[in-house]
Amino acid sequence: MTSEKLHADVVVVGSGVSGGLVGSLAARAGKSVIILEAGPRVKRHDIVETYRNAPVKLSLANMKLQGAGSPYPSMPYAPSTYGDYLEQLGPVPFKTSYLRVVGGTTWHFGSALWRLIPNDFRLQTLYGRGRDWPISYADLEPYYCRAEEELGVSGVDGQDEGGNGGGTFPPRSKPFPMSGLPAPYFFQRLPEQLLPAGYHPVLEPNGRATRPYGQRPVCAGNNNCNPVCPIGAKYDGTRHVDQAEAHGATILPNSVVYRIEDDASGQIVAVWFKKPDGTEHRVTGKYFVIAAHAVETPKLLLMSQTRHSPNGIANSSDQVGRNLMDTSGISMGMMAAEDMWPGQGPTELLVYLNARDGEFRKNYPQYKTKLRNVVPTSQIASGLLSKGVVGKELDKQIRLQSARSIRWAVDFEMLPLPTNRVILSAEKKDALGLPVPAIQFDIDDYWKAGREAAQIDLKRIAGVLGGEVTKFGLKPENRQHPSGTTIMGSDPKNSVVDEWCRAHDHKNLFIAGTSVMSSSSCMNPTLTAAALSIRIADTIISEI
Amino acid sequence: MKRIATLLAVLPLMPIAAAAWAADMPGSSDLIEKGRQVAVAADCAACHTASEGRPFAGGYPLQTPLGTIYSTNITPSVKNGIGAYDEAAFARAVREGVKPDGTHLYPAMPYPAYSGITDADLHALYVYFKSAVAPEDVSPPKTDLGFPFNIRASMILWNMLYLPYQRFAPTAEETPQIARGRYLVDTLEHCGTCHTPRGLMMGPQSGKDLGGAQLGAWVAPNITPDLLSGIGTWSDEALASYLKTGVAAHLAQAAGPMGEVVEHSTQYLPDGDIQAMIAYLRHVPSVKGQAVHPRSEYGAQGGDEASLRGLTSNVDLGWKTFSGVCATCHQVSGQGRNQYPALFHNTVTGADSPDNLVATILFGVRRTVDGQTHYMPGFGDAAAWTDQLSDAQITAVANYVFKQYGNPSMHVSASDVAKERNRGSLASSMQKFLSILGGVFALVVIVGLFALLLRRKRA
Amino acid sequence: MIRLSKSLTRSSVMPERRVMLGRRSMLLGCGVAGLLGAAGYSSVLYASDQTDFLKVSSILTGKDDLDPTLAARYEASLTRHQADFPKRLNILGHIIAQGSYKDVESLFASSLMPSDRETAMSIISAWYLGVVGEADQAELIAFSDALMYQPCTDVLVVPSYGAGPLAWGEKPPV
Repeated sequence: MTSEKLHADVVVVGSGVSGGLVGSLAARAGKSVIILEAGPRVKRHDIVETYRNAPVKLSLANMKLQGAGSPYPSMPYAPSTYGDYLEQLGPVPFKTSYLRVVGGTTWHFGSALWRLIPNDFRLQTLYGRGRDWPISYADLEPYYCRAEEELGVSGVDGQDEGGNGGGTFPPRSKPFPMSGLPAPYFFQRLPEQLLPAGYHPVLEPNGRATRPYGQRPVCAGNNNCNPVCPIGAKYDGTRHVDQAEAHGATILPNSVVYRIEDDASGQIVAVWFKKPDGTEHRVTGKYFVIAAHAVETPKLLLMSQTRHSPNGIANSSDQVGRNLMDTSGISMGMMAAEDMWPGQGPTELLVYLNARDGEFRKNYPQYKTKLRNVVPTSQIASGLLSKGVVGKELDKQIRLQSARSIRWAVDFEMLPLPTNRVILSAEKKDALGLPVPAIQFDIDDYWKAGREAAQIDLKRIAGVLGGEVTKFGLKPENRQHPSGTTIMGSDPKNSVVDEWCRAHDHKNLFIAGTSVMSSSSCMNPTLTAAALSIRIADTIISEI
Repeated sequence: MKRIATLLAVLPLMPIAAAAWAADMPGSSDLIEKGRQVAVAADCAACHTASEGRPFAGGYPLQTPLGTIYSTNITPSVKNGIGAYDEAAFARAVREGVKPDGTHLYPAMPYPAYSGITDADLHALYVYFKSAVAPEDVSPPKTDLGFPFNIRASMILWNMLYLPYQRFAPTAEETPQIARGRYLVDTLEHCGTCHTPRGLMMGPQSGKDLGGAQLGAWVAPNITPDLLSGIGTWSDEALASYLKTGVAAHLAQAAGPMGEVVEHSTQYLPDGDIQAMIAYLRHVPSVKGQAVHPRSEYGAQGGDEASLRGLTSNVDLGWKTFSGVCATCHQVSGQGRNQYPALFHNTVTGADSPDNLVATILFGVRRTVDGQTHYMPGFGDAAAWTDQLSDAQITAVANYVFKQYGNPSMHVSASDVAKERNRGSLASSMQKFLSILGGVFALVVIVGLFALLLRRKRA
Repeated sequence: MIRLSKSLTRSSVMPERRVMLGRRSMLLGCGVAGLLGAAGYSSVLYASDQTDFLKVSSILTGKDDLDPTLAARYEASLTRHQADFPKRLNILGHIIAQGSYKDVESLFASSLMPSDRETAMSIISAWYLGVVGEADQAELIAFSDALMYQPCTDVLVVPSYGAGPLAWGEKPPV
């Protein structure tokens, strides 16, 4: 341990969107802030060039190659989740890939920024499934508005995100901060054909700028949201880290927090971190916010077994690490009957939400049916070449298949099951000697029932479009939306944090991120995590 | 950005505001409209509108190393603005930079150019401000510069030397169109304030009118008809497009202070005025510069993508930075695409000074025309951390771009870049003022020395 | 001009000289392309060209505007991945010259040995994907210059090279 004294009003572990937001808001309110990040701070152009130079390119178009490569650094002290860092205990592999760099996983998110709908907060009451949240949609609505402004969300006002083709839903007190992106031809033509069959198109609210937003330029359709927006038109967590820093916060990259220290009164006193050279350091503070991602946050809490908290920090309920959810889904490949040209503009946008809510949720989960909008060229070309297609036919087929290959994906809501969990690996350790996360995960009958329903739906869609189904992916595909591992609830016996995201066990400890979500919904969880983080910041600022 | 938003909000509303105020104020609506047009052509809003919803209320902060200068409130507020000014007082402030109480304005206010405003236009301007602009009872923060710049009277001396005190009047030799163009270029748009080089005392250099001048980090280029250094090779369409939109395809795009001029003023000029300005610019005497080749005709599509892609070690820093930062928008061969301009046949990369390229990299481009903001983020200190480039990277990429796409004789060093970085942190519209202030300072020093010498001789 | 290309090809095998060579070969390449253009491009491979990677590549891909710099880099890389590649190229070139094949379609319609077809596919694959070798050994030579992007450039961008702010939405050409 060094003699350097590190102390702040607010100590934040994790520099992603959640940690960055809390840090930034606290710093903007004049509080002293330290943000610790396990990974390094990276330059956009370095990531972009690493991506371009990589022979195997990670993309939403080659999901099976997830894990094969990422342009983000994998450091011995903060190994990339694209390698074999996560230990899979099965039976279903939980292949989530988060980023351990300043700014966090939003660097490579597709930037879908959805709100939940009111009934998502009352799953148990309404449908006898999962859990209710201790807060309602109305409680969170003002924070959703603020989160949309902070993150710079562009969206189409007046859309029914309930999927019924009605007016604005869920209810909102403010319009989107930026108007929606123009729909590429694909997203104009396909809805024309599906609408008569009762499928109401919804254009995804997202974090891409449609006018200069702060320092962010306008989205240029680089079609590279994952793995990196080359121009920074898409929101990522570095925006708030920068803001925090501009307001006096200290950012400590390459600082791997491995222990949280509490005292007999239940107060958190300090966090301990290691530098890449193995040296150990202590940071004290008044308030602590753990915002380290839904896999790393429970890992850190579980590693922090202290005299006062023998099961780990915040874990008197034994719920830390449990209730791991995702929006794992299935997929369908299709050749359209006419040229559709997916891949223009950014990577995602059009979804169908016919199964967003209803009595069916008693029997099978809410789901979202979405279209991939990724330039498919490299997958198509490799496929054709492996079949020996050459010459003029090769060019002809590349063009034809690029214009007509439609890739559908379905995301399901998953239930919080105590048996789906993150634990500490018994054997594997990283270069700092810290245990890696081990994940135990399975799908249940509820999810399987959803798969049946969605399959029927997908086939019907293909039929309406007159397309030829080329492939069904029916094994659960991880959608990189982990949640639930420090679940929110009003009962300290079966939940980790209260409605304010404050740990039941520790008054000055807050948990920010998707890990607090009581239900996953089928939607991308980032905006909900951001809204909750703003609420955390308000609480902390008012108490200091 | 605020100013952009304000302008967007305000300009379309002006006729409405005019109607509302005209009801109980003197002046016909034609006169008010004429005054509004004069105000637009003279680019008043650029400096006098600071906050959204308060047009012309002043308070726009110009950060300078000498302190912050705030623009004045020119709404008809009696307490804080020009409400108590009669037309003669208003005219004196505009044309001579002297307030009714005798206080001298700093020449951030381009009154040496405005001294040419005709009596008819000045009357219209006065009526417009008095009757169509809403009074705002807000007092801009007080400007308080340190010694010797707080001696506003020092401006008297400078004015004696350089203030023309002469109204514009058409001459017998010029056509009405050229006369109108001369009035717009020399008086209302005050082009020479930036484009005419300054002498030791920061007065305009004789015989160098519109011959190009340094403006802090930026260069206001030669806009005389000289074929090599000026705009002699530009077509009328290109010049008109540049003034109306800020872009002349495959030639130039307005950034920095010129972006502001297009944004706040020239985009709103009637086509006849644009044509008049072009006619006059074609007519002014050519000023020969250093250029050996027109700045818009350097370079070609190409690059090192084929030879360097995929290599991860020992890759030229200039190309690497170009590829990671520039090529995403300007494309791998520098050819640009849609809104993104090509890097060759571009006056920025073909200039005979490296400043505008370095300034563009450092500070970016932001220009709102016809409601649409063209924005290139800068890569200097104001950029997001992840996008900030070092002096070494900017040096390498600027030199790479000059060699590959522009004037290959240009070369910058890391210290040039560091210098630009500091210069450019000043508000761009402040640059013209600073140079004049420098002149005033020189004058003060000279007069001071002179006085000292006299005293010593007497002793 | 053929001799010129050959000398390039040989020296380009030395990896440490690749960067320098890239620029030089491009200049030379432009000259070659210019001459070809002036003379009228012929897709016939003469016996003397059978080891000319660029010419063989032209016939295999059906493109007469291949970049000589990339050709040199692909050839060097293929040789790095397959020591006997020069020999294979020689054999394939010989077959093409002997049979006077003018395009890959007629070549592949002939009774080509599997190993020669494999050689041809490795060359085509390199040009189209911009990548030589597989899995851990894969080496990227070209990204935006990979031929696979060409058939759709009027509609789709090469990912990470955007078309400009909100520059999409029109119905693509047929």
